[in-house]
Amino acid sequence: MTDTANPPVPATPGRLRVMLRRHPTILWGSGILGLVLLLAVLAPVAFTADPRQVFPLDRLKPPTGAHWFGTDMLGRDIYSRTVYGARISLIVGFSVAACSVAAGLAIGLVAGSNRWADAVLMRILDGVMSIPAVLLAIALMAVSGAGIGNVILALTVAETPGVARLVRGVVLSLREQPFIEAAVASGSRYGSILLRHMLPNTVAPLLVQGTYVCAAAMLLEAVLSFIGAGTPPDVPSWGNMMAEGRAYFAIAPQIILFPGLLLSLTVLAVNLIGDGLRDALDPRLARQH
Amino acid sequence: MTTRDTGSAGPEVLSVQDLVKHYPVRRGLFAAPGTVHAVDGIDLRLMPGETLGLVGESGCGKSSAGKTILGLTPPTSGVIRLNGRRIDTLSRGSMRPLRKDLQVVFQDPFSSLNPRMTVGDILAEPLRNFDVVPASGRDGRIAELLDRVGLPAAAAGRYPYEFSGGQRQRIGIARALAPEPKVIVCDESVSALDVSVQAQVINLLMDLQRDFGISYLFIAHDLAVVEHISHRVAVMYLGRIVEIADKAALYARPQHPYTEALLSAVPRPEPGRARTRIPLKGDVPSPLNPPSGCRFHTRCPLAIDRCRTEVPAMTKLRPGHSVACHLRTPD
Amino acid sequence: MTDTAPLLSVRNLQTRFRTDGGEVHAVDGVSFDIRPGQTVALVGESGCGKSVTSLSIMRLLPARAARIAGGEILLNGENLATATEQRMRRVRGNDISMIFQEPMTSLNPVLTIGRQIAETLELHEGLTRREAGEKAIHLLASVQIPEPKRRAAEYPHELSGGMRQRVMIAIAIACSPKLLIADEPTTALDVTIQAQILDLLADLKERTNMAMLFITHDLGVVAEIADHVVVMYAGRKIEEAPVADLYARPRHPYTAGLFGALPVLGSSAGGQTDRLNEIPGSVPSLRSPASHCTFAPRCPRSTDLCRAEVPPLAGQGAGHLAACFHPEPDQKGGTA
Repeated sequence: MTDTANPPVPATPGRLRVMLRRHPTILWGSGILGLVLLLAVLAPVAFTADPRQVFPLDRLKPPTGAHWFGTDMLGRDIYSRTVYGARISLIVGFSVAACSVAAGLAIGLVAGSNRWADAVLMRILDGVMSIPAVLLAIALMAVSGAGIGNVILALTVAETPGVARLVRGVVLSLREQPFIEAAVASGSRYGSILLRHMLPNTVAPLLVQGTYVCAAAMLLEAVLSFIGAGTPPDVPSWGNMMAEGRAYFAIAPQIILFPGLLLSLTVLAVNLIGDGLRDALDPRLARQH
Repeated sequence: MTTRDTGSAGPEVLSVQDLVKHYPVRRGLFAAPGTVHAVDGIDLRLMPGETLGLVGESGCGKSSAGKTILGLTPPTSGVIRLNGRRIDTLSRGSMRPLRKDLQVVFQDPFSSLNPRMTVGDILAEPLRNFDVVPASGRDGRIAELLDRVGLPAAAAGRYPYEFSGGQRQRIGIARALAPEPKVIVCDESVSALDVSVQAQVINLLMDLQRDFGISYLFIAHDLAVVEHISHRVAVMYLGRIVEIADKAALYARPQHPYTEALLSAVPRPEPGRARTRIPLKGDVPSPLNPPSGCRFHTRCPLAIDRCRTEVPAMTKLRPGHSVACHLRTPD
Repeated sequence: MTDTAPLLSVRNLQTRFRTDGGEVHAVDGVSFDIRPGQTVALVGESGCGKSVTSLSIMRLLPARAARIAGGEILLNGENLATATEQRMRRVRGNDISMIFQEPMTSLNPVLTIGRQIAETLELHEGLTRREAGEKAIHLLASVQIPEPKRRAAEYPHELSGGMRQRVMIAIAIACSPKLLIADEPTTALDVTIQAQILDLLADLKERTNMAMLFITHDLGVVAEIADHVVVMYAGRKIEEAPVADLYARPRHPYTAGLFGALPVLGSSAGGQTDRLNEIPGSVPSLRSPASHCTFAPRCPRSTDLCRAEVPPLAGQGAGHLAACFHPEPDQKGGTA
């Protein structure tokens, strides 16, 4: 997410520290997410084996010193597969968040600025929003075929309308603000008002919405993979692992347990950050300091 | 649309003729759409270096008049001239360079400054848009502006939330001052401030007028503040001007019954003063459905039959004093 | 007036707010008395603690953020500062009631105004629904609402701001309280409507001998309605006096400064308009309890003494107190 580079409030080190102290959920979420991120980045060197390497003699082994999380029905190392799976989840989550925030921002700004564009765009988005996200993604995957890129595309289409509606609402309420009228009186063109006055004021709500989109995308990716409509089966994603382990749940629960646990933990971390940011950036609360 | 001067340029910097602003409203899902008669035909002239006070109670249309004159919302009809040039028919694009001469200071010192811009950025905006100074001289000009409104140059690097209400209003004044305008519309600019800070801002506005010859259209509901700062005062009631005069004449010898009642209702800081209040019955009627004839007749203690049917014309009682009332005729 | 026992006696009230930057001393040792039938005005600029004082008396402070840290609030000798919540529920409405600046937020939008007044009566006076309904119409008539019977059946949004404030007053006086606290009741109203409400309050006071604590920033309103004035600055009482004495002889430089800063109607009569007196700077933060005069940084008369010690309240004539080491000279003509 590129937006994190652009702090929503005038960030001096002091303000950031105050914000983190007052909203410790951001710190907890970032800590957990940071660990998962570290594992994913360092996957090739993080004490892992090749996630696709098969050990035929070590099938369905419980956790041991050699295989920390045990092995699956083909004898593959579950720890390595889980760590590599984190890469898929994070890539999908962050990409979908970044893409739908970018697309939603563009659509929302246009809709909030022009009444005719607003009428057309909002009806289209209403149509997209009336289809459940999973169904929409399955349909798109059926058309475009399996693959991470297509998963990201499908989920972006499903998540964009929500972001666009949010941005449109922010733009419409900002247009009524005296500081926007003051900018008109100061001779600013509409483009410049959009860029200098409206855009910076959308960053805070977008940042919060982005984290929720990210968490939703991670879950949806796992769901899609689980039902075979997501990442190709040879890719070690958490959804694929859980789908494969389903038949062996009674004798080898570790196949589902570890990717499931990691998925929950990652989604929790992202949501914690989102909730913390929502409270920290709430203008009603911000007034007080 | 041609943007050529349509003639009849007077000495005034700003003139408004028969300005009308109606807002359509939907009162309910099935109700017929109505029309708010916010401004219903007002005439104003503002001379160089002059302050014209525009007073009235809430809903009288004084703020709508200000917004329409500023071109922030299009008028329903009427003619607005700035420096003799007609501006109500201009497109957004052709209006933009003319805004240099027509600035505004709003009421709320909190929502009128973008919370995510530094004070320097806020002041740089008009300087850049109107090309007032070359880019290299911008910082120096910002420091000058801040100094002129009584703020330290270091304020340029800080954000609005770091300032008090009075200081923020000074920043708003500096922004309006930046393009060296001829006219500033002050829309309740001191109403939100405490008395001690209000005095500072009123003095500042008057000093700036003395030094730069700026004209103010000073919109406010506080009659004492308007008397203090204005040269001439116009009183509005339900979208129309009922009386306009030099302030000394208006406050000493109000002619319209509404002006009289308004002045008599102001609480004076003189304990034990005998009250000579002219009581007004009831509330201001809705601008959705204003009364016929003289709009004040429903509350006027002196109303006669003619007031209910016939709209009183603005009549000059003596030079510089006009009133719209059937009961008043020239001396 | 001093011979009657006070109805309400606030003694050294201390109210503090918890914030991230530490405790804010919103009210710092404020004392005053209100006698039966008397109107006391609490005057000051925003943030001076006048509204917090009234909320402290009603014990309506936000429970998590604020606390009464010291002092007594004696209503007929009973200390409300330490009374139970159960006891306070009886005090509010029966003994003390309150009206606010914005009547719309205090009225329930889905109940007719007649019903809202009647509910108060049923709750506090134990009237039947029928009796309460009749008395509600009677009360609306007593606050000079035309056609009270028809108005009683209307909802708050159908009334104008002035009418709503009349309804709030009707609810407040429903149980004949001994004290009415009015917190900026006319600030949101237009000047002609404000005049109507001030007349109504003066009339009610005359009819019922109710005492009133009137909180406002408007020195014109104070002159019209108050018998006695308490001036607050940065959480402290800095001056108090009978109204005529205060306006004729303001002794604290802050009070005198306020009068000088006020544009007064009729200023153009003399031809040339005088420059308004400015009080430089702005109100200090209340983060730390100052061990000096809080007005000293803005005061033209301040000396080293003012910056080192808190000036005690000292007598300046009958019933006139000012907390100042160097009070304004006692001469006529304080009202500029």
